[in-house]
Amino acid sequence: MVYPSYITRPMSEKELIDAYDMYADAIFRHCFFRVFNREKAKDMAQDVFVKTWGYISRGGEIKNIRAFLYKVATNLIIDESRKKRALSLDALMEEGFDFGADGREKAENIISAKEALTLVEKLDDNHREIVLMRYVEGLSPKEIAEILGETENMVSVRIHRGVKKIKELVKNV
Amino acid sequence: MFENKSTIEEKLQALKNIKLKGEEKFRVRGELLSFIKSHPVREKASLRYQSYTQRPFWSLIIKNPYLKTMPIAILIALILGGSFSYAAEGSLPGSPLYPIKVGINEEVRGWFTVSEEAKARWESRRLERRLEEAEELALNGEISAEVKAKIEENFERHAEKVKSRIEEFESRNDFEAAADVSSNFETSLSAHEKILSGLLEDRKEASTSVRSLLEKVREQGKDAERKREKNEAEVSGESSVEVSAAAEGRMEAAENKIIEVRKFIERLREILGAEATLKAEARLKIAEGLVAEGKTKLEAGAFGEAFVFFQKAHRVAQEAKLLIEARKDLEINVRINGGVDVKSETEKQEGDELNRKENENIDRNEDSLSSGSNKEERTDKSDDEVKTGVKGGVKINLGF
Repeated sequence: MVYPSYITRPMSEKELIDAYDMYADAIFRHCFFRVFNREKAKDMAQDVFVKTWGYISRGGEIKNIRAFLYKVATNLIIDESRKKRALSLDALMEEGFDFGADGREKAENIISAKEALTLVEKLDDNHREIVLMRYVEGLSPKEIAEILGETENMVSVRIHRGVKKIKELVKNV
Repeated sequence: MFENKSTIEEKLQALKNIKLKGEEKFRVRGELLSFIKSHPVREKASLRYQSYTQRPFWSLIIKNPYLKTMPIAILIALILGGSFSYAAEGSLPGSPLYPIKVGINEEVRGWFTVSEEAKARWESRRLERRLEEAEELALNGEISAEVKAKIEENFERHAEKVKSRIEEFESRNDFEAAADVSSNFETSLSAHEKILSGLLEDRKEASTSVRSLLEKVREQGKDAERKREKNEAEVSGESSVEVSAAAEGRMEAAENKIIEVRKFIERLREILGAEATLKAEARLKIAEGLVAEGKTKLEAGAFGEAFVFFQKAHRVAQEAKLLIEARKDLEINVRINGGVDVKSETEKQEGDELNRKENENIDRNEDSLSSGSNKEERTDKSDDEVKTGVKGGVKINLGF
């Protein structure tokens, strides 16, 4: 069916699946750095896409799919944190955990990732989240502000502080 | 410092290595696909308006194949006033208002079905209406040659439409929808085959009229069966994630259908009489047995086979319903055979009331924005009609 431009059309199945292929890992990561549990993060990531489709199938409009997915994820994270699981990145790193390597990952990548983890390990959740969104996921401060429901100013400040903290930690090592 | 910052950024990039494993990602993708298939998009009111304005009323009159033989006087009256449309609903082939029923009322109703599945279901329903009309006519006596030809022509037309919708689903690899539509198609044809055969036995005068229609129904029935089997095989061959979701959806549909038909039997118990009620309930027991077998297969992980069992259960229950409906109408005929009896008039009115109530409920459902989901059938979205005065009657043995 051909839609004229003044009627917004619902997102198609193909478009959502394309979005899945593109962003599933990022969403997974985003959840992971809050719940520190691989299985849980995987379930949450799936949930994000399922809920998104539910919204679409009931006639909801989405202007920016990427931002939308993060928003849904953020809400799920809030729900999860209310359930309270006492986990921290420290504890997780002590146990050692699965990087999602398929065996084809180069060892050096894993080492770099472990190294990177130490950089963000000591940050508090909020700073870490923002730093990761900015430098790992590549979201702009404006996008981050939209997703988290903060002002752009706030976001920039927090990014700056986060990076500063990391540098201090690095120096002290 | 400068150097520091960029190094940190680069280092952080390495965190991208934390991600879903290939197989995990693939599996979740499959589950997402199943979910999407079982929750099709409901199209918005704005779209509904869109398709309505794209089909001006005038072309419906001018280019309509059904209206070719319509007398001019009726055409003019139709344009001038709207009450013909309602009166036309109960008309039968041969009556002057019949072209309005088929060429206008039904077409307009088709406009308001939005999803592909709902459209397919409406086409099936139109097919059933043609057969019901033929049966009513046959009951009352002979059918003239022209009317007979018209009936058969319309029947073929609708059957072809249903089949092309099935093929469209097939070409889009939506084998579940194809299996669903072809299963319903098969059921309608099979039920009406039985009804027409019954008519053939009991009403010798109607035999010439009915015989060729019966042949056509049989043929289409075989076609439908073939398509259904083929699509069920396709569904079984899909990835196990998809089939298990399909099987579960079909199980729900079958169970809901059984509940619905049971309620239907309950309401009509008195009109149907003990024998017919028992036979109908026996059919439902068969359907339940099939559901139970399907569940065993489901547990054993044989999702494809489970799907087939649940489809069959749905068919059996649906057929029971169609046969009861036919019986109900013919029984009402029997009551008012011959003279006008006060008691039987009220009984006939009760029957009409029931029809009207069902009609209202179903119209409300169909006009609402819910899309035809082939998995989540809550109430029966197939249709019923207001049957206006039917005269004369004979007890027809439906071989039930």
